[in-house]
Formats: sequence, C-alpha cells, structure tokens
Amino acid sequence: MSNPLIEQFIIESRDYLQRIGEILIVLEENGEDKNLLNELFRLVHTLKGNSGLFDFPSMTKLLHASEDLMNLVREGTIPYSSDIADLLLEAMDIVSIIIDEIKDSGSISHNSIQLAEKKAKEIKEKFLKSPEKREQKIEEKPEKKEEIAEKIFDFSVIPEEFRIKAVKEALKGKKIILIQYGPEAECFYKGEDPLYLVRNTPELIWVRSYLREEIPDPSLMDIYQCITNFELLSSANKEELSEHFKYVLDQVKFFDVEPTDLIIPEGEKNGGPVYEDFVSDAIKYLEENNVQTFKNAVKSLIELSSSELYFTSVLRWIELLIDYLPKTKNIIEALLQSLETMTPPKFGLEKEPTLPQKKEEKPEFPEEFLKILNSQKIVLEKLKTIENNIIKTNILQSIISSIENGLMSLKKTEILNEFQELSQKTSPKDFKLLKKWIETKFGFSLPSEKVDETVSPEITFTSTESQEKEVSLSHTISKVLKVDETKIDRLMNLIGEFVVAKNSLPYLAQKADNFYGISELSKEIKAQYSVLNRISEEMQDAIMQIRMVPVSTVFQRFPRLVRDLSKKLNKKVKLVIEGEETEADKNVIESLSDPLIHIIRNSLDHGIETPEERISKGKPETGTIILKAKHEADHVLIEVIDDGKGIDAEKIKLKAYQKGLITEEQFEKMKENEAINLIFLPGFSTAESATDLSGRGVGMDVVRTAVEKFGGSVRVQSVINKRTTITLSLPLSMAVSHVMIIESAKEKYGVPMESVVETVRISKQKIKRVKGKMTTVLRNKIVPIFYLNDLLEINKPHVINEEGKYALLVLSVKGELTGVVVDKFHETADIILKPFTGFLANMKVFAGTAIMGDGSVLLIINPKELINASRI
Amino acid sequence: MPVEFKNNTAKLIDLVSIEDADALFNWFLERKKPKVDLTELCHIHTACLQLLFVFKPEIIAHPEKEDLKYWLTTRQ
Repeated sequence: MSNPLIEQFIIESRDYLQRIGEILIVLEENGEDKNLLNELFRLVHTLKGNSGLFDFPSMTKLLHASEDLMNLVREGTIPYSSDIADLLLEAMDIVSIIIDEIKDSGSISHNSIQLAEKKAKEIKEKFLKSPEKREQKIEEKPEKKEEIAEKIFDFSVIPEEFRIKAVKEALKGKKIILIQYGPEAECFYKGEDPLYLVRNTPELIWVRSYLREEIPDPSLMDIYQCITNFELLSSANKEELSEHFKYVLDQVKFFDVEPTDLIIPEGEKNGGPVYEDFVSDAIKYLEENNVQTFKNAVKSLIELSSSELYFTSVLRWIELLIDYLPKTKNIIEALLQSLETMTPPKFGLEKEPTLPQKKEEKPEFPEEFLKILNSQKIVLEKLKTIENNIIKTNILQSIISSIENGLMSLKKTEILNEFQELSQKTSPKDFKLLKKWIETKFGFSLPSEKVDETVSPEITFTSTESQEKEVSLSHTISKVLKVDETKIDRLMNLIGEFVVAKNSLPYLAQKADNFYGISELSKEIKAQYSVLNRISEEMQDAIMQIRMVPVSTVFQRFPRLVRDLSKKLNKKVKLVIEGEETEADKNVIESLSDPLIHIIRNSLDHGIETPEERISKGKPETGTIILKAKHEADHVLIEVIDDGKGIDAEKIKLKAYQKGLITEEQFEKMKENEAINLIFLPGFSTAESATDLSGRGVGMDVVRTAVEKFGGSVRVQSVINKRTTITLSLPLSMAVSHVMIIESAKEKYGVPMESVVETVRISKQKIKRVKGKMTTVLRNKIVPIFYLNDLLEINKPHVINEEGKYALLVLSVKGELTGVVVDKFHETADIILKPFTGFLANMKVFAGTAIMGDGSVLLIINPKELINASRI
Repeated sequence: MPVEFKNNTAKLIDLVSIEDADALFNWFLERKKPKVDLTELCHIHTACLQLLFVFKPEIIAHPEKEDLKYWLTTRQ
C-alpha cells in the first residue's frame, strides 16, 4: 500500500460507509427525511465518484446501482422500505469487504467481484426496471415545480437572437425551461466542473455565467471556492434535465418559461418612418387571414428599416409568429398595439384590464388592509406545497374569514358580496380563482417588490446568507485533520523516548555534583531539567488528547447489529445509546468493540424475550437495550442494560455444578451475586441450544479476558424478569502506566499501581505455614504469602531490615488480597510500557519493559500471571 | 502546458484545467493590465473561468469554439 491516494480513499470510504449505514437505519426508524435522503445520495455518489478514480469497476457498478436506487427513493418514486434498507445495507457491506481487500492486497478477490456484480444486478432487477413507476414520477414532477419564472428573472438580459431561437422551439411544441444553477462552494473538491456540466446540457439554447459575490480584493480570494452562478435556457424536457443535473439537483432550480415571457421587443423608439399605415394594414391582413401578403409586407419593412429600431424588433417577432398563425394571433395583435403606443406589448387577458383599475381602486383601500391581503396571498401561494387536505381546508378557511372581516370593517358591501360568492366556490383543490381575484382586485395596489421577496424565498438560492453558512461550514471541515494512526503512534513513541532521555538529566546532575564536584553545573542542569520536564508533560498530555476518541466510534455499529439480529430472532428491540461523546484512548475504545458485541448479542439472544413472551409478562412488546458510556475517575464505564428476563442465579448455579465448574460445597454456599458472575467462567452457557448468535459457551469468558487484558474489569447485576446490567470498566488511557518500583535480589521491578493495595513490614514470626502454604493475618484477614524470589525462580533468600521485618507488598489479584515478599520498596514512576515481542512475548509473568531515566531497563510484573505461576 | 505566459499576455490553449488555476491566479496578481488570448481554447474549468471574471483581463482574441466564445463575452 504505497499509493497515498488509495490510502486516502480507503480512510474516506470507511467514513462514508459508516455514515451511510447510520442514515439507512435512522431512515428506517424515523421514516423518510428529505435532508437525510439527500445526504445519503450525496455520500453514495461521492463514494462512487471516488471509486471511479481507481480501477475497481465492480465496486463502481454496485455503487452506481445503489445510487440510482437511492435517487428513486429521494425523488419519492418508490417509498423507503425495510426491503430497500436490507438491500442497500447488504450492498454497502459488500463495498466494505471490497475496501478491506483493497487495503490488504491492493486488489479485489474474484469472490467479491462476483458478489458485487450479483448485488448490482439484484438492485437493478428489483427496483430499477419498473417503467410504470418511472412514468408516475414524470407525472408528479411538473406539479411540484410549478414556479413562475417571470418573477425571478429578467428575460430581457437574453439577447434577442437567443430569445427568438427559444420561442421558435416553443412554437414547435417544446417546453422552454430556465435553469438556475448555483454550484456549491466546495464543488471543485468533489471533482466537479460546473461549466463542463452546463456546456453539455441537452438542447441548450442560451447560457450566462456570473460571479455571485463581489471580490473586493482579488489577492485574498480562495480560488478553489466556486463563486460562479449559471443561468441557462434549454428546450429539453424536465426529465432529461433532471437526469443531466442529477448529482447537483439541490443546487439547481427549474422554471417553466412561457413564449410570451421571451417576446420583448427592444431598440430605439424614436426615428424611422411612421408606422400607422402599417399597423392598420397589418390588422386588416390578420382579420382577412391574408398570411402571405402580411408576411411579405413585414419582410420588406424589415429590410428597409434599421435593425436597431424598436419597430424592426417588433417586426422580427411578428415575422417569426406569422408562421404559427392562428394560435399566435393574440400575440401579434398585442405586438401591433405596442407599435401604436410605443409601450411594451401586453400579452394575455388579465393584465390589460387591471392596469386602469389600479388608479381607481388604490385610494379606496387603506394600507393596513392591503398588507393583510398581501400576507393572505402569500399564504395562498404556499398552500400549494401542503399535501394534507384537512390542514389545507383549515388554512383556506382562515384566509377567507380574515379577508371577509377586513372587507366588513371597511364597509365595502359590494366587494364583500362578490367575495363571499367566490369563496363558496373555493375548495382546497381549487383556490386559483380566489388567488386571481385578489390579484385582479388588488394586485396592482400591492407593493409588488415585497411580494416577490416573500413569495419566493427559495428562489434566491445563492443568497449571501447561505453562502456564509457554506463558507463557515467549510472552515470547520478544513480544521479537522485526518491522520493515519501509525503516525500518531510514532509521535507517541518519540515523546516516550524524550521522556526517558529527559529523565537522565537528574542522574547527570547528581554525577556532576558527586563525581566531578561541580555543584553549580549540577544546579543549572536541574533548572534545565525542570523546564524540559514541564514541556514533556505538556507534550504527553497533548498526545493523549489526540489519541482520545469518543466511544461513538464503537457504538455506531450497534444500531445495525441490533437491527439485523433482532430481525433474525424475530424479536422487537430498541437500542438506546447514551453518552456516546464520552472519550477515551483509541486503544481502549477499540478494545471495547469485541466484548460489547458479545454482550449485546447475549442480551438479544438470552435477555430480551420474544414479543409474545413479553406481552404475557405484561411488558411492552418492544424490548430495550441501553448502551451507556460515562467517565468515572480515570476510568470509562460502559453499561449494557436490557429489560429482558434477567439472569436466574439458581439456574446458573445448577448449570455450573452440572458442568463441573463448581463443587457441591460451593454450590451450597454460593450467594446470588456470586452465582451470577459464574457466567464469566470459561465454557459456560445457559442457552438450551447453540444458536447462530451466541450460546456456544465462549461468550462471557471472552468478554472478561478481553477486558482484563486491557486492565479493565467487568461485572454483572441482574433482577430477574426486570433487567440485566453488565458494566465494563476500562482505564481512560493505556499509554502511560503508573508503577511502583520494588527491589528483589538487587534487581528492580515495576508493579502496576492499580494492583497494589498497600505496602507493609511484617516480622518473620508472623508468617505461618498452613497446609504447606505461607500465610499471615493482616487486619483480621488471612492473606496468602508468596516470596518474589521463589516466584521468579531466583535462588536467594529475601533481605530483612534492621528490625528483622520483611517488606510485604499487598496486591489485589482477581479481587483477592495476596502478599508478596520483596526486598525493598522504591518510588513510584510513570512509565511507557513496551510489551514483549517475539519469543519473549510468551513470558507472561512480565507485562513488558520500560526504560528508566538512567538508561536501565525495568521489568514490569504482571501480578495476575505471577500468582498463577505459583499455583502451577 | 495549457497556458503560455508571454509578458502581459496569457494564451489559453486546449483544455485549461483546475491545475492551472493557481498559476493563472498568481500571474494575474502580478500583472497590472493582463491580456488573454483565447483563440485555441476548447474548455476552461470553472475555477479558471471565474478568475477571468474577477481579474477582467482584456480579451485580445475570442475562442474559435462558438459556444465558448459566448460564455466569455456575456458575463454580467
């Protein structure tokens, strides 16, 4: 794995897969959420895009199929279902396997290629080949996107030749669509080139690009942020365009354009010949349907007149429209009228009569009333987007009554009657009449700019606010640095070595004083040492902070586990995660993963009952597993609580006895709490038959071994038929260990502080031999005693002090007190433990070594193994 | 090299990609009156296109490609 690009790809892909898995499960639980669906689609799309950079066609193919499926879900063509979730999760599992293979060998195995191909085919066959559904989608779309382009776009910016081209297409029966495309600022990082996308738009008629923000100082601009917007006209149908822009649909807006929006004559209005004759002639030709003569007349006039004139521009439009008579008759008439008045043509029916009304009506209504009316109109506009009919009816009712009240208070009985008549005709399905009535009655009295602003807030998709958000978001993203773990480990090792090197300074100071007799130098060295010491401590602290990761990195895989297992077992289970932000060292967190999987599997398999059983017990049908993390002193506590059937201590005891794990005597005397902890014994399982999930008797002892390996502990509490709580406790960090240094036979050893209970001196006489074993009584407790030299097979007696007493180190091993006789106690120290490797790794009596400040090597004792060694 | 710099003129050739954005940006920063020759330009990445918008160089020759010619002259 030498290609850094692939390494980066692998790191990123795992993140994406993780997030995809999470979203799929959240969607299943909480139903469809547009934002999540969008995010999901983007993630899969990015992943697919990234995979395309390398030569992994089977992976790209599978992701492509998944992406298409997600797109259908996103567009609402097919509803999100458990089946889809299964299929997509399986697909992502295959991708995950492929990524592991790429990491390990740099290539994909034949098996995985086949798996991927098969899954891609399955997705295609199940979901992507259903023409009926596609059609349904096509029908739904225009309704949703019915927006009025006129309001948001000034079509006069489009040069006439392109408008003519577009109108021509429209007259041929095509729909003209205005597309506003505001690429996201970060798009370049995703390998996108918006201009390329735009240039390849199907049936592109016209396009313009512009900067959406001012750049006051070009030298400070971020050249990798996209600040360009695009606006284009196309005569392709909406489906083709949606397909073309499918990866950036959230950044694109489509608007239907009417031909009349584009027919805007332009040019110099003064000068040129007098046109009155032409206008009257033209009207005559039109009425007589004398198309050819009309056309000839227009043509010759165009040739005669200067192309810069308004008149000529109108003629050019008429020339175009003549070929499509009679349907264009109204438009031509309006154009001719505009020639007479030299004002822009007015197309359509409703606009003309409203203009004179404006002057008459305006003074009749006070400003407040118009404001109310305006806001009601805005609500009406938004009503389109509401799907629930009951809500729609209620809203409509309130609009009608507020307008009625307004009119009543103004005493406009005539208009009130008219309105009441109209409101009776209005229904949630048809309120266009009401809208039109407001527009025609008061439309021109309303402050139109305000209307635009409020009615179409979504249209300003490149508003500065959203840009700011994007920018700030990009800043937060760029501040997170992803580093390979080995690099951090290397840094930590280096810091460890630095700590060791630093520790040699006090020895040097001592030597300068004692050996060379330069006490001043010794003082200076000590002063320097204190500075270095402070820095090294801070460095250690900093590296520890870097290594801290939240437990969520382990927890996040459990929703999926619980989902899959509960399905398999036909149980209903809800997983509640608490305190997932709790942090601990990365190694600690990773060590939690396997034990937790075991525990959760156990809870699901043995703990939570089947729905029927739960109902009969009067419990809710759905069981709950709570996964909780929290800090407690320098430990992180993980609790797994389930509200299942609990652990039957008697049953456990009996089982353990039957399996010969406990003696009859133990069976009689054992307390409930002790009995429950028997589940941690190797070879213990209560499941009647081994299931696929757990119950093979390797469960809980694996948990205990794994947790203890990392210096943690595990305990279980249970209330029958109520709950079982399993608590794992692990140290926050394993990088620095605190040890007590002891001496035996002139060698120094380290003993982990967490095992040390106390250090005492006892006289030789107090050590009694009981059944061949050495013991003593310490604070009314019998404590077994071992001699360290014996344990380490050193053939030397232990040293006693002047008072004739042994140094006794009292340790807690597996919860029991044990005394170990040593020669001397020394100070405690923070060390960086290096486990043995190679052949020495089998020497379990020692946990590893640490290098001391004077360069000597300290052997660190593993108390548990040390005591075990004595028993063999 | 898709961009040839000569005194005050940058000639953009064939496909000007995002990799050229940095060089182009620095070149613009150093020139008071930059000029660009686009005759042989086939495609320009958006990142470079927006540099043209920001620095507004004098376009001494338009692209031969019809649609692209339009792009660079109709900016707002």
